Amino acid sequence: MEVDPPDPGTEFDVHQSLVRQLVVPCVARHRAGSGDGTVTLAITAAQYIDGKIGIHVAVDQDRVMAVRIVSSRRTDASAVLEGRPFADSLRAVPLLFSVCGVAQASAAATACEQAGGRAVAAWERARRRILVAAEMVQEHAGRMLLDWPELFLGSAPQIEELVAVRRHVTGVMRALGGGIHPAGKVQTVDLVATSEQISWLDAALARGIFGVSPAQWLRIRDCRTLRAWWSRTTTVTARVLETVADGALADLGRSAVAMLPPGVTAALEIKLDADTAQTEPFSARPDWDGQACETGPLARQRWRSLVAELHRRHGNGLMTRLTARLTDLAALPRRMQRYLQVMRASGKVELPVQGGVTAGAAHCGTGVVETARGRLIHRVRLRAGVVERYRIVAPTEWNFHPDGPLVRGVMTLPAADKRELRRQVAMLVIALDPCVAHDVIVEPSGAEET
Amino acid sequence: MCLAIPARVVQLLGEDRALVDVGGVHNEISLALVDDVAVNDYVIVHVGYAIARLDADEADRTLALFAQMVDAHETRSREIH
Repeated sequence: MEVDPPDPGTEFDVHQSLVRQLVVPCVARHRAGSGDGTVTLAITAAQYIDGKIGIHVAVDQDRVMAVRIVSSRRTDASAVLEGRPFADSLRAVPLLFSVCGVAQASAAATACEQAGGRAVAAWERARRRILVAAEMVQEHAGRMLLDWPELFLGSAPQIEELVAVRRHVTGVMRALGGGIHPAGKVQTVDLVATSEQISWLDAALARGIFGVSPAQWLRIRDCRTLRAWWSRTTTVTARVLETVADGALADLGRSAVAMLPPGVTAALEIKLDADTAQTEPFSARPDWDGQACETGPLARQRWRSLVAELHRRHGNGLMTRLTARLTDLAALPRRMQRYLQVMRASGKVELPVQGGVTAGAAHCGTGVVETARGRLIHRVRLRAGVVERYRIVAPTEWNFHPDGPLVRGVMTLPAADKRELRRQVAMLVIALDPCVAHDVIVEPSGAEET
Repeated sequence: MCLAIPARVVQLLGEDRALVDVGGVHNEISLALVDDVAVNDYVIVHVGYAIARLDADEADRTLALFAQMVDAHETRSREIH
């Protein structure tokens, strides 16, 4: 790719020059690594703007021999949060991260508050949980209405339905004061409007995704009732589950990978605190007691009877993962209303003014938020109110770990038909839902980069 | 983590499509999920769709952050070599 030299002098040129610095070295590295030219260039500069995951599948006749994940995503972005007063870092977080800015801001706020020894009112905790849940609705709906129809059914994205969902997600966020506010920012919230927006959101999900209200959908507790649901429902999600069942794809990608246990252990915090590696840091390849784990809807919802029955039948295969994601989404409106009750009970209608952190010695804090894609962990070390170290572990790092659920699942796929292999890998990727775009590259075993 | 690098809209193509510019690279994207986007607006793009429109102040602050990220990265690179 040829890039014209920058023409300095205007604000836009500064922008161009900046992005060029971010992009071009990355592309150059990938070109240099392409060896004898047999390996497809996984990314282009433009794709890098989004960030991208390349899934390289090495095959020998009808077997997958190896799977390699090549990521162009920057996992060192949190370094830019270091050396600032914590309030500045909190303001920067939602600007840096595009897809789950509310979850990132919530995790950052919790980590900084814990490090500073500051208690957070139940009212504010509930408000943040509603905001995070609203963002989860948007992310789940985006995959189900944009990616699922195209990949599983070969049909057009359901734009109109998604726009309706996004409108009410935005409505909820506006009614709740707009986001996670650091130090001293006071805004009013409207609990009546919030409740209305959640109800409309519920109705939009019923129309576009479930065919019935999300609460009614959650009453599906066994596979027989699930089958009856997709038989009588016209939404794309019902068609997708039916297609997976009819196509004998329910077990696709089934593997023995462990589910990420709840919470965060002291051992994991210690690893993050000691994480100074420049290449392959722990935050980019996390493990739980030495074990790669799956995070996300299946890890969260596997206790529900429907998901548990599917898990017994199909393990963590495609049908179980997709149904767990639907279950995760269906539970969100009710959760939002429940937290709204907590806010109503406290009677408060203004955000609390948040003071600065005054600790003189270094103090560490951890913020953990469950997002649509799985667990997000922020770990911060503050000294006198300034961020000394910042580490983030995103859910994609668990699920696209070299020994994680995607890689293990792809290793089980038949490889005789390369086109079908590519399609099935894409299904597993979408079921795990990385936070960036992806490419699937099938290559002869032995041709892959070392 | 996916970074929210602002993309500038350089041309509206009709039918909710637009050409955006990021670092001199042009990409065609969908504007179906956002309203009232005009030429020279900044948008955040995710997997081919604009998912948010930024006001000029937000775009400036975000670009300043990425500038600092580049500086930090270069500093670390110098420390390694």
